[in-house]
Amino acid sequence: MENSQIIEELSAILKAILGKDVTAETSRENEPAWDSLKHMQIVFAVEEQFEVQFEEEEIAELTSVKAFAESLGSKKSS
Amino acid sequence: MKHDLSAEGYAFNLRPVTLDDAEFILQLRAGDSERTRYLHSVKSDVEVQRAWLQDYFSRENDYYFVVTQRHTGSPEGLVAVYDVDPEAQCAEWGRWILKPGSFAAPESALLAYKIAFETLGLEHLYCITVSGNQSVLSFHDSCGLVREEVLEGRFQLADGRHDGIKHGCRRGQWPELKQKLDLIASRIGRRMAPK
Repeated sequence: MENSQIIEELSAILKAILGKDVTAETSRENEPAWDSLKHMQIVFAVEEQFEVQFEEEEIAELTSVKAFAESLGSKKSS
Repeated sequence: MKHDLSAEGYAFNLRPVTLDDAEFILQLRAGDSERTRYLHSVKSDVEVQRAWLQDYFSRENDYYFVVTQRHTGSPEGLVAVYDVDPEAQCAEWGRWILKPGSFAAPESALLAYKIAFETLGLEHLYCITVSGNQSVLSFHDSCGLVREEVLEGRFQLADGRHDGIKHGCRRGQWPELKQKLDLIASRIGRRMAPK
């Protein structure tokens, strides 16, 4: 799966949960609506969409669209 | 106050704070400045914390809890239901802080509401958040709570006065809130269950 396609699908998931437009630069630091409740909703939705499971230790590190994309990229290529 | 209330969740439980928790409380509340910037500052002295707890034990209508991991019992954070007004049947909840990266936010909030509405039988639970604490404000908004009031200059923190935003939940809203938090908490619980 291409990185651009991953970003596109991620953006759609985040937009649906955050209720805001999302770019590859969106992160928990620059998007106040990305709170700890929505973070878990995002994690579960991404896992379902991409048919992957993130490790517990990994979840706290998934703090941006880029971090999700990188993690998904490595999972999909392995 | 000294109490014996506790609550059991999917991945996390609440148990009463004891004097032996003074060091853990200090570790959390005097931790990195980014995470604790919206809390009242505490002195980095375990004896001062123990003295605060002794004072708390003698105070009525104040229920302070340690959030623990259900399967290990290890402390994960803190939360409290306090300023309980038995006549008005309302209380505030707060003193909420969790270890960095913790998954306990939805369930610790759920259990605090459960204590308030189902154990104490309150009609109204509210929380007051520093106006700049966007992630916590968003958490309460995401839960569907109503922003009831802006309390001007409510908090005196290290960098000056800050407004407080009061979110509230009435008993009638509790079933919907419970369902929303339970959905996430149960999924986290399944994830954290021992393999």
